[in-house]
Amino acid sequence: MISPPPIPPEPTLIRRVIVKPDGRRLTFYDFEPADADAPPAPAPEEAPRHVGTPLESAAG
Amino acid sequence: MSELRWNPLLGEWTITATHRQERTFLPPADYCPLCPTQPGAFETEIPTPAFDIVVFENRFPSLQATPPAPAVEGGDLYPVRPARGVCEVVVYTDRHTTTLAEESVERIRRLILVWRDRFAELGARDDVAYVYIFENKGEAIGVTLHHPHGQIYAYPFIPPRVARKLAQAERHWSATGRDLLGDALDAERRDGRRIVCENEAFVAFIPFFARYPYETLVVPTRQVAALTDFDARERWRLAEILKTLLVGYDRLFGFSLPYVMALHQRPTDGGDYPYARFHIEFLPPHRTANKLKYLAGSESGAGAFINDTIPEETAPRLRAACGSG
Ligand SMILES: [Zn+2]
Repeated sequence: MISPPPIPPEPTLIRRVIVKPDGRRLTFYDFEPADADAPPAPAPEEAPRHVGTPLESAAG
Repeated sequence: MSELRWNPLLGEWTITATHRQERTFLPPADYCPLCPTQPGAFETEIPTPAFDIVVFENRFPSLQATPPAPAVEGGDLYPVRPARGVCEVVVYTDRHTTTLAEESVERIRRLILVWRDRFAELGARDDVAYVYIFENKGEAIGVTLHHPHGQIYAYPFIPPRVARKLAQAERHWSATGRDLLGDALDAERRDGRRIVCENEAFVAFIPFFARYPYETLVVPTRQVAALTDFDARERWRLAEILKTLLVGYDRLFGFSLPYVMALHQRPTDGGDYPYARFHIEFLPPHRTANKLKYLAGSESGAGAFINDTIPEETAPRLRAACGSG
């Protein structure tokens, strides 16, 4: 089994919101490169919210 | 003018949006409202000479945060509601002549980060029950602008096809304790014939029940219900599989393939959806390079799709084009 290719560090998303003359919102999304020394595959940063109940317990 | 009109025959809302008829249609190549504004040139939607990814509220929204009062009076048979919600445009890049398929995995990952941000922000609004992220690509789909972009509709209700899929998933969950799409994914992997490409976190396949010849589903191997619930590794793997699939589509047909791309996530109406599983659906209208599938009598009038191909035959072609078969 070939191990999956490494994952480049994820950049940080930066938002800049402006309001156009007619009142509509416009958001610029820019990305700050991740620290080159960061680990290649960051650990999950959020707990999954809907992973469901374990199948074993649901099945009794 | 814009409002929600209830269709009691089908039990669903129709959104009327009459201003949409004013839309520009296929503007000349030298003016694109989604290109950056160059110094001294006519101003586009985006008032800077360069940008990475931009999201803005649609100029002709079908749904609005402060909608006008309905122009007609409703009643018991025909309820009417203001068309409350949000319609946004997501501009993938400041370069006009490119497509998502031609973009790097890194850019697709950035787009996924933007989708996640929009889902979180729009989904947190009290008046938004469902955040629908999608892309209409190609003149065959009826797009009016060729600059690579997608859209987001934040609906005040759960749209009917989504509601129907969720009801099926809930039924399965109640009966078996398992999520339906997870079971479908297991069945597809056991069979193998309809798999198009896969990596350690996602699988793309033409489902057993495909309605369009090259319809694909991209499904996570873990039961995750929304973009906000993926980790960094999964976001990268999602970008990778989208790149592989989109390149495969274009390679198979020999041109930039039109499609509808639809992201399916849990609703944001405050309900609990333990049976929901994130997935992305690609619906290309092409049967062959020069034949389109039209929604005709059976599909439009009866809702019964007729697919004149079988996925066991189309999937190997697409798999080969994706370079994994
Ligand atoms: Zn453009």
